[in-house]
Amino acid sequence: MSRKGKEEEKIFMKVSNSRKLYIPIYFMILVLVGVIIFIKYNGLMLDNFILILVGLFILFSIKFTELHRFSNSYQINEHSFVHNKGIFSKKVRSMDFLAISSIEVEQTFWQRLLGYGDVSIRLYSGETDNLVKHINNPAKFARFLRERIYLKRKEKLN
Amino acid sequence: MINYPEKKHKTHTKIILGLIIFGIFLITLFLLIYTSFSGSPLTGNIIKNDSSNNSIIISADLTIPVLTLNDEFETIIIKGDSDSFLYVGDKKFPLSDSKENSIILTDYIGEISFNEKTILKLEGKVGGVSINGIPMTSKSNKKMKIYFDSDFNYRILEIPENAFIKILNYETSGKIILNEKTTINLDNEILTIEKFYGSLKISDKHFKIKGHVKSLNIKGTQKISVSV
Repeated sequence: MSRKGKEEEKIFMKVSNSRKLYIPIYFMILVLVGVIIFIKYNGLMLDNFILILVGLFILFSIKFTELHRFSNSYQINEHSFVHNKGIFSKKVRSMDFLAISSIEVEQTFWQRLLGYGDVSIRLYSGETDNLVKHINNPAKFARFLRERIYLKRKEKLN
Repeated sequence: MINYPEKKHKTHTKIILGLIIFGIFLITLFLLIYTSFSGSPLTGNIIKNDSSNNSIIISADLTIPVLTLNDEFETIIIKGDSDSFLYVGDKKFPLSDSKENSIILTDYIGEISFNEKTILKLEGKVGGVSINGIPMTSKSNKKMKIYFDSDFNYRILEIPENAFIKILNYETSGKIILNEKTTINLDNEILTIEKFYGSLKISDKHFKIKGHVKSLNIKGTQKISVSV
């Protein structure tokens, strides 16, 4: 299939990194905002320079997390699994469903608790990578991918 | 095809990045807590020390500006009458009972803003307060929250020492004496003073300051610019 044709393929599912990955950063922001509220509430002195510093920290943290989040996106379309990497410079890796041999879901204790994790995709060529990282509900993603692979194989056999 | 770098290298970069973010967070948090609880503004102190060592001596008697000060003051003296209430800690003092209220704040940290007639805002923390001769201090040696619930009509407002004005810019009339020898008379001219540090007193519609300034500009019938 030509490149243009591939781009026009129907996208069934598109995911990117879960925001749960950035919980430690959100917690830091929350602590800083909490301390400011406490200072204001108790009538303590709030230095303008520090206030600007806190504002910049919050702004850059949110900007960084959002940029990092969108630097990786994963698509399941009609015939293949596609990994888009990068924001300014972009790299696209496409894997045909027929080339995929197995799919594994990996979750640590905390990831299970928070409901996100990784999906490993193994190819017949022996190549494997933790391709799909830090996504919400990895089991659902893996199940959907398996279904698409099964349908594609069935279609091929017919 | 995407080249996935080695896992070890990736983890190492992630740890360093995480430590940098956490380090910045800790520094910011420390500065936030230190400046608030020690009561010493980070930028304010540097400027204050600088202005008393290398500056112009000023003494002025001018019309009253609209001004907001947010700093630490050893003493603030306020006299006047008002229907407002003064809140100190968990206590509430009515100020309408007396025609001439005298309030003295010691070790005050916070904001005070005023115009020609009224104190528009007074909100901060105070070490001790005397209301019409009755002294009040915190039992726990902690600073008490203090504020007016509405505007306070003042007759006298005095900060005897350590008043810091970062910038004052307004149209005014009056007299300025620089370095105890040069006298400048102003008649509805625009005055700009930068980094004033000293004493301040407002009474009988006069705004009197005495201390040091970093620079002074006058625009109007006369154009004067002095700086160090």
